[in-house]
Amino acid sequence: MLLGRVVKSNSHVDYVVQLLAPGEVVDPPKPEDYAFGNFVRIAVDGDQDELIGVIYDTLLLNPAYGTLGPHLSSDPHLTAFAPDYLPETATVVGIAVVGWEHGEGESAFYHQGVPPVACRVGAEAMRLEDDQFRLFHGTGETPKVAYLPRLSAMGNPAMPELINGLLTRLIDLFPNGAATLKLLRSNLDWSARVSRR
Amino acid sequence: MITPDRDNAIKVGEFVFYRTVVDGAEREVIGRVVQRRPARLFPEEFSADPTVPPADVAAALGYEAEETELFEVTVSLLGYFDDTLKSFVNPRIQPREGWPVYLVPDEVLTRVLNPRALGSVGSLHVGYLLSRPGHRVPIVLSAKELVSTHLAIIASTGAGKSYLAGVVIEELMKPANRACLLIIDPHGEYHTLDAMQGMPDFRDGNYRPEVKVITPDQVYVKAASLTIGDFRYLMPEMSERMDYLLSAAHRRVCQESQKAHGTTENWTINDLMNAVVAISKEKRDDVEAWDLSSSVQGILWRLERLQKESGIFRDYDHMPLTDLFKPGQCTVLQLSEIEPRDQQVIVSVLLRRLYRARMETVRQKSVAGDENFLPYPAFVLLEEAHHFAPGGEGQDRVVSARQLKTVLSEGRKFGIGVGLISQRPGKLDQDVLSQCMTQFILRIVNPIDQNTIASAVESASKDTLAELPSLSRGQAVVAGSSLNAPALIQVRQRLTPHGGESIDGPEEWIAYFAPEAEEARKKEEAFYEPGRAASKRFHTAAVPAWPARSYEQIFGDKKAEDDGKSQDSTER
Repeated sequence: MLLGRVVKSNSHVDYVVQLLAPGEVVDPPKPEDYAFGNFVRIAVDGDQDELIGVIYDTLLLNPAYGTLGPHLSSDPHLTAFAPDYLPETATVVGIAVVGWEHGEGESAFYHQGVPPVACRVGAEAMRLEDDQFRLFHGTGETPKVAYLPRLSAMGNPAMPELINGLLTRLIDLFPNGAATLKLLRSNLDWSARVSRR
Repeated sequence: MITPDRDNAIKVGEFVFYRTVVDGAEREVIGRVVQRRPARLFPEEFSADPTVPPADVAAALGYEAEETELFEVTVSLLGYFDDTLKSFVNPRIQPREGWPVYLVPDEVLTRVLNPRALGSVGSLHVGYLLSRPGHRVPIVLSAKELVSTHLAIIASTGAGKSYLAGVVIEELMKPANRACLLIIDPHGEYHTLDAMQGMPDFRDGNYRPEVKVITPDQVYVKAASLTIGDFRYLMPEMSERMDYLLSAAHRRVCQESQKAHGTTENWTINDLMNAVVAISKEKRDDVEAWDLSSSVQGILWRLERLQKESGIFRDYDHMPLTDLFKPGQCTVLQLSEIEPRDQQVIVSVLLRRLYRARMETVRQKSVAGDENFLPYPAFVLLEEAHHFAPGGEGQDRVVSARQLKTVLSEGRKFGIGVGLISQRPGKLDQDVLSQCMTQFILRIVNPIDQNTIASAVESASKDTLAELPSLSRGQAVVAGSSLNAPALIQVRQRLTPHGGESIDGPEEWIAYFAPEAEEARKKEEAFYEPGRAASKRFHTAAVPAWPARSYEQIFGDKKAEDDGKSQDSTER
């Protein structure tokens, strides 16, 4: 499902994607599609590669905010009398890139880490399917989460909860590797919630 | 030295070497591992779940390398082995960073650690190097050094010191050594050594070792060989007057014996008693106020008690030195059941006689045929050494301690070697312990004992001491002049049976209930006894108790039979 397009980036591994507005498509993304902690894939122009990232932040942009003053017309009238007056609000999400995918379909290889290539402005961001999510985390019994240290190091205060949710999701998907994942989850919870006190 | 040590080969006590050039020659400098510390390990949180190996957690985070753990190993340098000097020489230059360090091969270790080759003359094969399993490196000591510079075996109870002593004794009695050995055995543990008389390992041509066990009833000390100090020790709580009298009497009998027989040791206890009485009489004749009669009584009954009660202090019987000390003969002197004070005096007298005999023989003051002629060195092994040379408060008050110190310090000149075996080095006199230049230290847990070893034993460095509590039975630290470098060994199997096993209480109690044992007891107890009440003989739980009757009452005597009454008198 197409979520939106890349509008800017903060670094090689930190992209900002503007979500499709209700007026732009018939079926705009619903809140659960761009939920905190969801995985997305971003097409890299020209290559078969796709960047894989996780939504770690949501921002609401509203240029009209703060402009409190007399209007020419009130809002309900605008939709009837001037339908081409587009309200300039937008929802953008921050995407932390955690890996990339090389190849297509059967011969796809998933890598975790910093991708060698970057996408362009306007690149399409789509939701990562469940089976792709599972393949991204390895084919063995225990999943690999090699991007975890870098995610924690980003410094975002909401990151521990993201990782917690992610690990819980992985525990359900990888029952044989549950013990290792639970250990990781409890260690991270400890350092996030308890040891700071 | 930093190592990943994948195969866990670098244990504490292991020997390693590096190559360097010293004075133009390439040398291999050998050192001993004394400490091992982790330099880099997984974080503790990785081990939070015992079922999840920390390596798995690291792998989940993407860390897949094989060498994760690193260890920092501290090596104490011994030096390079110089074949001419036959010892280690310190190269006096540190290795550079990055120089490779190798494990010393077995053959090289065998060559550099052992002053003697296996099986050669004067060799003592006591065990194998612990860090090389499979008996790859035998540890062979120099018997000459051990016997001349004295030996100490120290261990807690049950750690195997009597076993180790047994091994050392076996080696000393083998054809390669044929030692002249005396064992002071206060607990009767060493009689099992006599098995070696029949074993092939101990034979060579006509040589066969002899084991002579002297049981407590065969232990004699000639009263005349006791010094006044020995008497004082045997008869404690003497008043000053008694002491004065006894000293004077002792002097007199010695002088008279010298005049009459040319030796100070030809008198009996009765002679001494008579001298005591005579002197007290003379004193009273001299000065009326000197009434020493009560003191005389005190001395006399003490001397009589000495004479009669112990059975050890005889007038003429004694143990000839040549009976006790002979090359190829291992004499076991059992002192069990003898009073502790008497034991100390026996040992003191023996050591004194031995010392004097060796001194006179070496200085050519005695010749063949003399009682004090002993033309070969001797080795004395002392079990429970802390009993004969106690440290602390008891120091120097015990007669055997003084004699032992003399022998330890001067004995080397005259070829007397002493081996001390003790489980309480903390109770042993420190001077005595520090004179033993070869040490076998088995497991010691008591911190007081550990501190004693640290202060009294030269070669006991901190790293040696740190290993002591973790030694298991049969493992020992060997250090000293008999070996080129300290080593951790596994004591070899003893050839003769071991006599020091503890009694198995539960086993013997359960055996009491075995059917054969019960049968044997029943037979012993079930003898016929006239007059014994019938109810006691035939009573079982099912039959109600009947009144006690004698045999005559039940079976009748002849008279009753004739009367025809007795048969009817059995009432039920």
